[in-house]
Amino acid sequence: MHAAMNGNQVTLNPELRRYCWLELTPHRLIAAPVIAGLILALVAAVSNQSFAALASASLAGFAVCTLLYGSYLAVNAMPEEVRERTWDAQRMSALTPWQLALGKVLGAPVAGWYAGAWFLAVFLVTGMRTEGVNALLIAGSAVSAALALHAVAMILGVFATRAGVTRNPGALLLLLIFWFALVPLQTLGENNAAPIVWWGAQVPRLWFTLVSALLFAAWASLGAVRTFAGELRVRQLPWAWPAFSLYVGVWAGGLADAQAGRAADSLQSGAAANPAVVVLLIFFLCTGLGAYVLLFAERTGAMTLARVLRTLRGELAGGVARALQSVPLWSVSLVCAWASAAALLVLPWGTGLNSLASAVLNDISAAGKLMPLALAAMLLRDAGIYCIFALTRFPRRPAMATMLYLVLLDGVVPVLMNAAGLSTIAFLVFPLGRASAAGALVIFLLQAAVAWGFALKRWRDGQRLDLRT
Amino acid sequence: MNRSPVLEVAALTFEYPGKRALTDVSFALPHGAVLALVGPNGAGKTTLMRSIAGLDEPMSGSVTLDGVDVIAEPREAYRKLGYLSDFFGLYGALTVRQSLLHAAGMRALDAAQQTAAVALTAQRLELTARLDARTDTLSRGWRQRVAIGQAMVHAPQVLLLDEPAAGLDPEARIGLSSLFRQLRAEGMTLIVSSHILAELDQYSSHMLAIKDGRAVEFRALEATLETGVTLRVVLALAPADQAALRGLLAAHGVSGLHHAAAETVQPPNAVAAHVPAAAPSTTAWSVQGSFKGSVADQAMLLKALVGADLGVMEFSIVRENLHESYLRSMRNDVPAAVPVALSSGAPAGVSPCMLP
Repeated sequence: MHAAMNGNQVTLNPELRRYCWLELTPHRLIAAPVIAGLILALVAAVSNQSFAALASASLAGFAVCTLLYGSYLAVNAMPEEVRERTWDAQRMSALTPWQLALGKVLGAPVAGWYAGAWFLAVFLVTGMRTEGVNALLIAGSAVSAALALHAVAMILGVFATRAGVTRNPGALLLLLIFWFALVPLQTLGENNAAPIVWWGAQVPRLWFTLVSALLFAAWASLGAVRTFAGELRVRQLPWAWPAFSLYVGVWAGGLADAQAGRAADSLQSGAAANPAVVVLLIFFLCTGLGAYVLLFAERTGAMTLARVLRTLRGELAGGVARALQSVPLWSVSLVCAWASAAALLVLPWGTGLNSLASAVLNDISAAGKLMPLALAAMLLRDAGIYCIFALTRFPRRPAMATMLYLVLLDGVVPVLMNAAGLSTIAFLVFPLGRASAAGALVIFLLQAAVAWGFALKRWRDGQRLDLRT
Repeated sequence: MNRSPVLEVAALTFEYPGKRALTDVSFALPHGAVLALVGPNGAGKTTLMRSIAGLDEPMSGSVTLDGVDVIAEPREAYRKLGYLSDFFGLYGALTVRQSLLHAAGMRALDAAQQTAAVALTAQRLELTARLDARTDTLSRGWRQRVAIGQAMVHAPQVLLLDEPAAGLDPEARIGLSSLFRQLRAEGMTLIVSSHILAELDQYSSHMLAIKDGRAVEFRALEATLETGVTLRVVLALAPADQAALRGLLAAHGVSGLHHAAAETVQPPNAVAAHVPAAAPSTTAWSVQGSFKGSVADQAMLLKALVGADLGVMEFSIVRENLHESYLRSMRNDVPAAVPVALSSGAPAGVSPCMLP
């Protein structure tokens, strides 16, 4: 939080202050503790004044207020700014992206935090009696997870406005952020005293959860800062998303490694997985899925490509660094997915992981290891389809058009072809599950070449029109 | 007025897919200037404003504000820059005081500075009595004032205003013109985009006319003898030796002579007061040219013309008003002679010069 002393006056982060003015109305200030008190009194009465029940109920109340209501406020904050035409003035702020992002991430859900704080206070009192010092670790984890969730919600709010959605970003976004932000809390279990195995080491479960939640909150905050930096036109190199994907690979890889080890044990194949492959597999999934999300969330237009190409050709100043600052993040994620897929092809997976993968994919031969590359080729094709609609002179809802055609291409047409007995055509349209990984790779690459060729033709047509204008 | 440029726009080019919205726009503004940004709808005025404000990134070119590159370092520039969009928004549930405090805070003023800035801004915009009113209870005109207050609460060096008078009643517009003159007198540089040229003419010192994304004319509206003026001389009869007249004018620093022609004119009202009402129109001969020099130089030139016995009927400095400049720019004309029909008094745009 940006707060500095000046004489006797504290300069509060102006965004946080604005949200406090707007959200903490006298009615809410009075109603929140009253309602929290009534709910917890009811729980106490029903549970015969059980401290454990009160602790559970207050923790649940905190989750509802911060994770649910706070995230709803956070995801709606940016669309509301755009809708109410106040965003341009915000973009002309002299605040740094850090100050602006933290003011928004902490400020937008401030009503949720205020209500949640009453429940958290009750949890700390009752939890200390039932869980002892562990209550502090659980509270810290919950607060960190809420912070992470709000930061991700804020990012998604920005993405929604970029996609032109300024009203009701939708329950889908909330579901997505719920899944994402609760990741660090998934290590909480029935038996919190049991250690967790992470890269073969036994780590106290609650401490692992707390540190994980803190780190996810830090990463999510960094993501929010960089998203707002983009909105504020602060130039930056695209390193954070690949770095976060690598972090997810290491974090989740440590947990998956134990799974692979257990699978290897059960299959009596001995060796555990190659750690580098485990990390790369998760990195591949993260960057691949991230590329899809970013593809639909970023504003990629004909001028984006023109700016990058002209910078690389030396027509605009800045060189490669400036070009890298201008490339859309989905393309960086796409390159990372391809690089990791290529590395997965050459690295030895380890017998433990081979056993696990064979059980899942039923093919972990050299050809089977081509599957990540085939998926990367499908991603390349889909990016090309998106660019067909985005790189035109007058793009109209390219994300929606792309989704429609992907549903047709990957779902409707193959099913219809199969039903009509034209399985060869179905195989050529969507080869996944119908061909080997190598066959899928070849077909997706051909489709990608067609899509990108068409996209570049439309882009060049637009550029030629530009010269005549 | 500090003549060093506070804002320099160089070769600004902005492109949309398939359309170049701005092409090589360049100009520089000194401290305390008020630039009237004029042009037809869709000419690129708002795009230019948003590019100067760093809200939209141009394809090429630069915007430098008091030595700060706005495109490369927008955060630093925003301490010195204010912008009122043509479609602004306010936080309806905030009071006027909170709105101004928030704007001041966003411009990185500390707590003490914020309080002082809000008081000063409210005073300037006559908002003091409404500081504790919620903005969603205000009329359009008062909301406009709050928005202007938000844009200027941090006392920016350059203030960009896109259609600031839109929706204001006549009284509020007069107040706005007065405010702009006051800000200009204090050294603030303003860029104002508006279609109401008569109002722009009241406080603008410069004009930038944009057409199809190109700057077709950038000029100072308030020419001085030191910076150069357009001088107009009307003679009773065509001189027998035109070369001699040209030489005489050139010798006194008049350059760029043009549009010398014989014209039928009525005597101006100032003269008509001393001649019979039925005085016939006469054939006169007018010449215009650029003149740089002091008032004393001007007097010497007039004395020389009178001494040459050319029948000097008029000796004046031509000042186009903004409306004329705009129309001429849109026609892509070169600066032209003002119509010579003097029968109903001095023509619009001509400021008769007092004879020394």
